[in-house]
This record gives sequence, C-alpha cells and structure tokens, in this order.
Amino acid sequence: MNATIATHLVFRAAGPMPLGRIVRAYLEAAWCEFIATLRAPAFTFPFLGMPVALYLLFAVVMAGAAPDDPDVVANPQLATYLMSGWCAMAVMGPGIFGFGIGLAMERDQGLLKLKRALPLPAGAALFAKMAMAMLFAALAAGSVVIAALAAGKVIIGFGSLLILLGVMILGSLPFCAIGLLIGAYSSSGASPAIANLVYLPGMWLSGMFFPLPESLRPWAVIWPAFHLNQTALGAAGVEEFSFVNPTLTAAVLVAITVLCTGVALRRLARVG
Amino acid sequence: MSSQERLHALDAVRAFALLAGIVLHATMSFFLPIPAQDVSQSATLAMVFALIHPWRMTTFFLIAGLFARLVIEKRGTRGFVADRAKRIVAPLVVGWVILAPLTIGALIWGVTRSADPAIAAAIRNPPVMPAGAFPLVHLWFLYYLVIFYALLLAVRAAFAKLDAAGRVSGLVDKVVRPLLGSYFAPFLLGLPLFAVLGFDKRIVLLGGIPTPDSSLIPQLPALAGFGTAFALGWFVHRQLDLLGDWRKRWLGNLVVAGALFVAYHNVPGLEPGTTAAWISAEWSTTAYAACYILTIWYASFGLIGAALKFCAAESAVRRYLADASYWMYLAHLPIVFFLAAALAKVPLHWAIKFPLILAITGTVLLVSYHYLVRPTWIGEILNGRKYPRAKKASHDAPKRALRALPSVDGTATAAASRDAEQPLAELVDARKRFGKTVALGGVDLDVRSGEVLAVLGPNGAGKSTAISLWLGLLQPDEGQARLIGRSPFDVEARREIGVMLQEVVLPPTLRARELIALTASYYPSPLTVEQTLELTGTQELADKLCGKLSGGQKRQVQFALAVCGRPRLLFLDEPTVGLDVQARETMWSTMRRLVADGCSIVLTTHYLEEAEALADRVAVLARGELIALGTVDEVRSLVSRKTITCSSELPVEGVRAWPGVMNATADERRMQIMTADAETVVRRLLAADQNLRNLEIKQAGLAEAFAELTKEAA
Repeated sequence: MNATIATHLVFRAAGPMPLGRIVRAYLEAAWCEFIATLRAPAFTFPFLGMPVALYLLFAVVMAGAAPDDPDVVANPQLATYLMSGWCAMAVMGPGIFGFGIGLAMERDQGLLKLKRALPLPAGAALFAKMAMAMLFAALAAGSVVIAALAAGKVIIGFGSLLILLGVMILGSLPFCAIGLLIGAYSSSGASPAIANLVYLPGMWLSGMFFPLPESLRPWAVIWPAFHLNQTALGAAGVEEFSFVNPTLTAAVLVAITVLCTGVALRRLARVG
Repeated sequence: MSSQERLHALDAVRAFALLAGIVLHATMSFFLPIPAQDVSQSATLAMVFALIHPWRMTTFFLIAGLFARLVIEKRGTRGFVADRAKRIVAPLVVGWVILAPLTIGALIWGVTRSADPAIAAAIRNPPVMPAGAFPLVHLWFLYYLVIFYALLLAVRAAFAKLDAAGRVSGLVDKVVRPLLGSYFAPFLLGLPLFAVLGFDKRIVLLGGIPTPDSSLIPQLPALAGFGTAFALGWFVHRQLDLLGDWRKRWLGNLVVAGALFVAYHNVPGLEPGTTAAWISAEWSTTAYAACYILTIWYASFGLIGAALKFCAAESAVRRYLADASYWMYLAHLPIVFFLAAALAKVPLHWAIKFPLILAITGTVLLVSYHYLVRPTWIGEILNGRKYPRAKKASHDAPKRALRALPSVDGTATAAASRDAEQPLAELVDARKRFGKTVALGGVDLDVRSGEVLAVLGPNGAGKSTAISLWLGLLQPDEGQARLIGRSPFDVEARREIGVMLQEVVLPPTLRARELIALTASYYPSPLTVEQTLELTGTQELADKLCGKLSGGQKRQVQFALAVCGRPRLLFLDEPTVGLDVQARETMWSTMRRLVADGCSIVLTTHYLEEAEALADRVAVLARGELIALGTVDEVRSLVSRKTITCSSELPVEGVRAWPGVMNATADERRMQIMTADAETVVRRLLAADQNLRNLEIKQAGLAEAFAELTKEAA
C-alpha cells in the first residue's frame, strides 16, 4: 500500500463532531441530492419544463387569442391570477414527487437502510431533499414569472411580484411534507399513483386556472394548492382574487406541514 | 414535602384549572349570546363564570412556568425545545386546523339559533375582520405559552452570558423572595397588569383580562397578566419553599379572594354600573380593576395552597384526570358549543340543561381519551407517554437473567480508556421476532476491540437481524443491543462505525467520488476521497456513475463508503459476494491493513475460507440461536470433523465411549463414527476388529457441518 496514507490511518475514538463539519454535512447532502436529481431527466423535464410550457399555452397563447372576452375585460387582474396559479402548480411537483417517489424508491433499494445506519446528522437527509425541492420550485416558478414578464402579462408591481414568488417558493414546503408522508407509507410501486392522486385533483380542483362549477367551489378549501394560491395572492395584494384571509390560509399550510412531517417522521424513525 | 408530592399537587391544580375552563365555557350560553342565547337565562351560572374566570388561566400559566424550569433543568435547552415542540407547538398547529373550523362552525350555527332575533339578524351582515385578525379560538393559551417559552429562552441565554457569576439572579432571589413570601405579594404581582388595565374600561366590560383569542399579534393585557404568572412560576421553581408558604396560607388567601370578590360584586361604587358618594365615577373602574387583579392572585395562591395541602398524596383517579385534562380541554369547545346551540331553544330549565351539557361533554371526552388518546401516539404527544391498554401476556419463552451491563457515562475519553475491556458492540440476551418467526432467540455476543469477528450461518439464521440490531435498524423485542457503549440509535455511536450492507442500490446518478465525499462528510475526521480510493483500490471507479458499475464494482464502492469515515468498527455484510478473485484479494488485504491500524471488523459471510483467512473469532448462528462461538481453530475443529463408515461387529455403545469419538450409530450393515481425530480412531478400530471391512473416511464440508450443528440446535 502506498506510503502517502500510512500516517493518516489511525482508527480510534473519533470524539465530538465540530459544528463546522455538521454544517458541511448538510450542505454536502443537499448538493448531492441536487446534482443527482439534475442528472435524472425524467424528473427534471416534467417539473422544470411543464409548468412554463402550460402557462404559455393557456395563459398567453389561448388567453391572448381572446382579448375581448368579457371576463378578461372585467377582471384586469386575471393575468396575475393565471400566473399565480401556474406558479402554484410549478412548486407542487418537486415536493410531492421528489419526496414521495424518491423516498419510497430509496427504501425499496435499501438506500434508506444504509442512510439510517450511517451517522447522518439529524435531519440532513430531509434537509437535502427539502433544499432540492425548494430550488426546483424556485426554478420552475421563476420560469413562469419570466415567461409572464416576457409576454407582458405582469400588471402588478415589482415588489408584489417578488412577494408572490417568495410565498410560492416557501409554499413548496407543505408539498414536501405531503410527499414525505406518501414516501414514508408507500412502496416505490404505489407512490407514483398516490402522488398523482394528490397532485392532479389538487391542481385542477382548487380553481387556480379556470372558474370551478358552483357545486365544486366550496370544496376548493380541502386542497392545499388553493391555500397556497390564496396566501400568495393575498400577500401580494391582489385583492380581486383574494377570497380568504391570507393569514388563515398560511396557518392551514403550516398545519399541514407540521402534521404530515410529524406523522411521517414517526413512521420513518420506527419502520424506516 | 417531597418533590413527588409537590408534583402530584401541582398536576392536580393544573388539571383543575383546565377542567374548570370546560365548566366556564358551558355556562356561557345561559347568560351570554355565545354561542347561542339560551331561552333559560341564569344569574347563578353567570356567577359560576365570574368565580372561575379570574384565576383559572393565571393559575395555569403559573404552573406552566414552574414546569418549564423543571423540564429545562432535567433535559437541557435542546431537550426542552424538542419536548415543547412536540407537546405544545404540534397540538397548537394541528389542533387549530381541526378545532377552529369546528368551533367556529358551532358558533355560527349557534348564533343563527339564538333566541334573540337581533343577534340572529346580525350574523347575516357579519362585521369585517380587522387587519391582523386570526381566530385562535381557545388554543390561544398554547400560542401564548410558545411566546413565553421563546422569551424565556432569550432571557435565559442573556443571563447566562451577562450574569455568568449569578450575582444578578442571586440579588433578585434575595430581594424578591421576601416580597413574595408575604401576604402582600399580590400587590406586587398585580402591578404589571394594573398598569395596563387599571385605566382601561375593557376590564369592566369583559370581566378581567381580555381573552386574546382573535389575533396573532400578542395582546398587552394577556402578556402582562399571564406573563407575570409564568415568570412567577419559573421563580418559584428556584425558591420551592414559597410553595410551603402558600400551603400554610391556603385558607387565608382564599378568604381574602372571597372578600374581594364580594366587594367588587356588591359594594356600590365598585360594582360595575353603580355609583356611590365615596368614589368618583372615573375612579370606580380603577378601583374595580385593583380589586379584580388582587382577586386573581389571592385566588390562585389559595387554590395552589389548597392543592398542596389536600392533593399531595398519590391518587390513581387524580393521576388519570390530570393526564386526561389536557386532551379534554383541547377538544371540549366544539362539543360544548354544539350542545349549547342545540339546546338553546329547548324549553327546559337551565338547571337541567347545564348539567346535561357537562355530562355529555365529559362522557365524550373521557371515552375518547380512554380509547383514542391514552393508549395511542396522541397520548404520547400530549402527555409524553402512552399507556398500553392492557398488559401484554408474558412471553412463552422463559426469560433469561439479564447480564448487568457496565454503566456508561458516554464521554469519548472515558470510552477510550476502557477500550481494552469494553466490547465495541454487544448483544445481551437479544430477542427479535417477526410475527411468529423467531429471528433471534436470546443471543449474547460481543465484538472486542481489535478483532475480526466472523458471523456465519445458513440463510435465515439471524445474521442480518443481529447486524440490524447493532446498527439500530431494528429494536430488540427483549434484551439489549449496545454500540460503542451506547444505544445504537445514538448518532454519536454510529460516528465510530462503518457499514456495508447487502442489497443496496447506490444512487445511480451520483459518481463514486461524490458518494464517498458525501459519506465522509458525516464523520468527524474522515479520510480524504483520494486516500479512500487508494486504500480500497477503487481509483478507476471514482468518476463513474454508480448506475454504470458492475455488481462487483458496486461492492467495492460500498466498501470504500464503509471505510471512508475512519471507523473503529466496521460491519461488513457479505462483502465479497460477486467479486472476482483479484478484487477479493484486494479487499482482504485492505481489511488486514485496517485491523493492523486498530479497526475492528464484524463480517458475515457464506464463505468459510473468508472467515478462515481473516477472522480471529467465529460465531455460528442457526435458527436464531448462537450454536458455536470460538477462535477459528476451535470452530474449524467442529467443521473439520470426519465421518468413518465401516462394517464391523463391535458394539456401537462401546465405540461411542472411545476418546475422540463424538458420536457413533449403526444399522445392520454399517457403523458410522463421527470424530475430529480420524487417524487415532481408525487405528483402534483396526486393532479391535480383525474382520473390519468397507472402511471409508469422509471429510465433512461446511454445509454438512452446519446442517449437523443446526440439527443439534433444533
């Protein structure tokens, strides 16, 4: 064996972990999660490309084709509402699917077991996935906002736009929590189906893109996406489309995050 | 009185304060339009409300402050934060989502059913919520607890920095203690609240501290009133003899509170809405506030004192109710409001309806507590422990006496100095079942410093279960697993081990180098990536994506992950499966190198030659039992036994008794003799039986030996 490492190899009691190294472990975990995800195009394309593509199709091309529609004329903030809706859709995916499917797959592939046996600092794996989801959420929602700016569809002030985007990015956390819960309880075979069951109806039935039928309207409150959209619109001061006190909707999102994370962590700590 | 007795009494009075809150809310519909104005109005129940309202939350916050210090002293700041996050913040956030809509729903329904048509009409045009409004409902007390905890931690941190010698806090103790010990303490304690509310008309309108249940912005009266109580509780835990004063004066304090109560309800000029010659109208509110605020404190001290006097003994009923009270208070409001609204228009006297509401609410809450909370995780979150509904029947297997473990204080230096005698990992009578299958049936096994322990056994023998117990992937049903003298769940223990598991799919889109860097980052003083690659001979794999590696190459990368943290103890589960001869040789030589440098290794393998080449000791498991444990030579002698077959007329019982013979059996044609020393036995056989024929000697293979050992174990 080479002499260069001979002097370093002493196996002894390691002593406590310095704070700097703990921070580094968190950052390293987040970085690896990010590049591992970025190299998986099956994940990146739907979540980075789809929201902006759909936004351009529905909110720019199709809405632009009917500029005299009475709805559009009566609601000048409709463009903001659509942008906000597609942003919400953009931040939902990375959290629900990144955690939901990622975690279930790690369990089936034995990686979760290895991670539990290794001395990961508490929460490092969770933090890594969360940071990844937020970064992807920021990229996806950011592309929608850039597309809106390019298409001249932004009629709120720059400050409001930043608030809206900021709320959206933070708003990926409750969806991370939902994904975590799905991942904690389902196998890799079942998790995509369950994640879609939460994602698709949550996206369409929360009334973010088009007016819901009268009978479905009261039920929008059961979908977290509705609460996120309302929080963002309320915080950004888009009063025409702010139907519920944004503090209330934000509290609902916090509660969903705490509840799902708590139940999931309990399960992960016991069962893995 | 003992600390245990104090705890019983304080627990009881806290439960009393919470349960009194349920009674308080149940009275409301009988004199207020909340949630619905009942057709039968009652001055008596208004009086019950007025009797409970002054002290219940102040008492609660006082005890909360006292327990806060208790928990911080016991568990440290981090433990305190974790505990409060679980028991206060989680119920606040999650409880709000569930309880606020239900409570508000009951409230709205109640108002529409109100007997007073003016109120019912008002609901059709609800007032606009002011900015910052937020319906905290009755969970506001948890919100304020969180605020007080945060302030407390901030103040405590500031004191630790600025007053390290404890001079200021010592001075505070010295000055404040005598003031609080006197009968006049309420005059001091009431000052903050008096400053806020003494000249505020709201105290008359609302009777006491305005309930801060409709905004997230902290309200000054509640901060002043309940904050003083919380801080006092903290202080009392520093000066526990104050409790003795309260205990002695319980009756005196209650009498003073009663007198004040009577005064501000009956003396003209003090009683709201009355005037008298002795006091001008503008001062009468202030005088009312002073009496009210003093009542808060005298009543609180009186009740706590009475509890210390009469409820100090342990009582199963009080214990149960104390545990139940938190859940009951959290969940009660929608039920109480719903019942009050439902009964509002029923033409019955309040003396029937009020007890009915309490009885139904109490039953629903107690039953739900008993079945849904106490034995489940909800109870564990709320009360910090869970009570199994019934004791489990004892296991059928007789429980072996647990070997006493050396006590471990957990410091790294102490652990290091005991290295020689303390095992790095141990299982003590460890048992694990999966359903009806016994995976481990009481195994004692330890790993000593500097050794290679090979764990052998057929499939399903319990090897992986044993490793999983050591690694904290599973918990033993009975017995113990220890790692570096600690619980395997302790991350500090795991920082000293490296792990290579079977059937792990490495993240396919990460390069080996990145994965090694990631894993190394979990350890305090790992090898560099280059050192790890060099040590394990994996330089050529470094820049390949894990998804592109062959099975054997993946094992090599996993081996690199196991050693990169410079562990004292390595767990290698079937490390060489799928490796070619050269890669296996490299891995073996690395393992020898690691052991020479002070690393210990636990190795499971199906290959006896691997154990032979590397291990100092070998443990053989079969059907969850440890059936052989010894040095390689000792176990080899078990495995290297030979079977002699022959046709002989010698009596089989005689042969069985020969030295060196492990067993002998015979049928009509043949005798079978098992021995580790075939040559000696054959010489004696040939000498003893001139007619011996068909002599055959067979070496027992590993599989055969295991089969034999397993059969013996069964």
